[in-house]
Amino acid sequence: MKAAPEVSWRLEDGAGGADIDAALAPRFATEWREPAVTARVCYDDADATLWHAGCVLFGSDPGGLCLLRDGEPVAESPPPAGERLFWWDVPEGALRAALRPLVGVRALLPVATHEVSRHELLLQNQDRKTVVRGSLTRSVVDGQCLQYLTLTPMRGYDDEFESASRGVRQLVHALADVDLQTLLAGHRIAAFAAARVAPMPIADGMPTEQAVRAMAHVMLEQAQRHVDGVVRDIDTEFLHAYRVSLRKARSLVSLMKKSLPEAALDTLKPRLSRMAGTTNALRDLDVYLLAHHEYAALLPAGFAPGMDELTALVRARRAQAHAQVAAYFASPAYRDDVDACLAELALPPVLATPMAARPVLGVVKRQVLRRYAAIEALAAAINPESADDDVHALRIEFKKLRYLIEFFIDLLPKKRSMKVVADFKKIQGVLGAFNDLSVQIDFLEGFQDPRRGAMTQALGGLTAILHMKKTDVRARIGDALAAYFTENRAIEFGLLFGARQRDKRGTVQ
Amino acid sequence: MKVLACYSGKGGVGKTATSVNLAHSAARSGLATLLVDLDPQGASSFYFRVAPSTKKWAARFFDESDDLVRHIKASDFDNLDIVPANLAFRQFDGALAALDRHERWLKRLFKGLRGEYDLIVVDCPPSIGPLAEAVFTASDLVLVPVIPTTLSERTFDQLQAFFADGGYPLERIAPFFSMVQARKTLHQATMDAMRARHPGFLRTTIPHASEIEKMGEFRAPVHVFAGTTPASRAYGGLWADVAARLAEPV
Repeated sequence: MKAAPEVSWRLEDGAGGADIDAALAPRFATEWREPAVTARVCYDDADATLWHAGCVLFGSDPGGLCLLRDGEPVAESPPPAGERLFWWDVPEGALRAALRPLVGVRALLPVATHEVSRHELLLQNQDRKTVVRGSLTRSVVDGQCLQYLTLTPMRGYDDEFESASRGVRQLVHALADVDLQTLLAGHRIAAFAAARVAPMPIADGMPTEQAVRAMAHVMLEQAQRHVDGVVRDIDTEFLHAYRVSLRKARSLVSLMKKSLPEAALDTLKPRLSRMAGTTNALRDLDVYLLAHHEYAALLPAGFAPGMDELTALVRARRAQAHAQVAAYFASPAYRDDVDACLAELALPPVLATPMAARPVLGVVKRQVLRRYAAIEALAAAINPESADDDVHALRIEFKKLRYLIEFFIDLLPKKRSMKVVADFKKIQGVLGAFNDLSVQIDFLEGFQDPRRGAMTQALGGLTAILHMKKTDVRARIGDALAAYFTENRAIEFGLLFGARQRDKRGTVQ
Repeated sequence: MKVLACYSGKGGVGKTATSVNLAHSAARSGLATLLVDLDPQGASSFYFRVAPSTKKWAARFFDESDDLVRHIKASDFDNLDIVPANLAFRQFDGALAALDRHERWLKRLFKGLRGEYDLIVVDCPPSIGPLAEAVFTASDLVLVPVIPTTLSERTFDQLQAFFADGGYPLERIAPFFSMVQARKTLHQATMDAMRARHPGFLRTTIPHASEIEKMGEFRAPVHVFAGTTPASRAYGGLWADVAARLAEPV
């Protein structure tokens, strides 16, 4: 049987069922059925990852959890206990499998309570035969009510449908869908508007000092947004995101330090360093806990009790470290550091250095080329006998160069610059793996305790395996560097960042 | 797609009530169902509040199913559409008689509806002629309401003879007792005798019930306004019998 396509409109604010009855009265009798009401709690993480992926996760009672993608149900599950939800809290099944790659280690929290009531409507002719079907959908979030009218033509009654559509025209405005995602989108829910990357308030001709101050200010504000999540210990990504934002601010200040006056650097550098450094221990403990299942799988089953003991110890230390970080964030010292940095960055540029007044795009390009040449020289000096510290220094320089391009990517040729960044990520994958293994080995060795025999044995086994992995990765670094630093790469950098070009205002960069 | 015809050469035996209630039962069971009201009196259409068609049936109605599709109307119920009666149907027998191989006309017409419907229920007028021949050829099952009286028994015998003479498969006929008054000894005796002679009678019988008469008042299938009554249950049982017969291998 042919299903007729329905048509829906947003109803004018204030219009209701009585207005619809009146608009249709000359030709149709209307019969309203009892409304069906559904209340749902929508979940998402702090970045609205599900929403941005075209998904909605909601829980209803009864019904459990349901994930929709592009309006279609993907998977369902009984509801797990607790308000905060990780993918691993969901019972084994399709929903758990679907959530894992989407949200990773992020916690899902209730972001909106959505109530939908749907009143079915029958439009009848003089024989009381239904000739058009319809419905009035009321969608409510946080007290805001949006209404949608749907009319569905019935086969053989096209004229009646056209007549009804004309009849309600003065009550409706835009055509709309009434699927759950469209209804939620209509409410412009703040939690779904979360942006992962804040736009940078810069323009290509802007003086470098002004640009650096504005960008670092945004980065610092971005870091602050994650503090509440760290204190409430919602998930480990809040701390990670806080540290990434701070790291970027510190890198920017360090990379462009010649554009800032000494007094600004004196204010920013120690404070930013303290704000990041206070969280180092907590992050190291998080990294272990995120990987502990993987670590346990590297060892024979006999080491399991020792690994369990280690994990329990790390958990206990993490609780302490978290309490310390939370206390730091609540302290006047932290508030003072943040306020001082924000106040300093908000100051107008003083243009105390030659670089400060130069248009930022030209400065960035020169910085990129200079840093590329420096990295190439550092890389050329790396050989199988090089110290780990030299490899780490190279990794840090790579990261700074990548950040430099990413910070200003809106001013640079975007597509080609993104390709450069993507290539960076490949080489950084190898260098980063080497660094992660070094950090974790140092971290684990700090837990050696002769009084804890089983744990120390497990630690010995684990660090030995990680050492082997580190040796393997170390052996790949030479080849990875050789593959990266090609003649074409140098030409590409020269073309992208070397040519003096006029910007949109005609200024030579 | 299966085609179920509701036919009797005799009027007033419950054909239309049966067509309406079985089409409704089939739709409720999830089958995409089309009720074709070939009786120019249009009682089936009336019960579903569908006005008789005023559209002219094109000459090519006799060649193509497109014109039939043009006349389909949605009922008030999910899965149930209707081709309402048309006064032009009065001339069916005459028009069909002029066609070559007229007995295959309806089968050809319904072919175009395969894929859209699971079941077509045909409410036939009480005549025996070219239209009836076309119905018998097109149908997988010809449901025959029989009031357990001597006169109805005679009509049923005539139908069997017609099938035999025309070479239609007798097993296509599915008779059932209609408008049964259990207290009447004549009804009981006739049913016993006919069941003995014709083992193909369906198990369910439809009672003579005021609810069925009230269909005209409510303009709806019995289930809609008297869903818990014996009459409604009887139509449910009859649909179960018919569905089982339709599911039997040909």
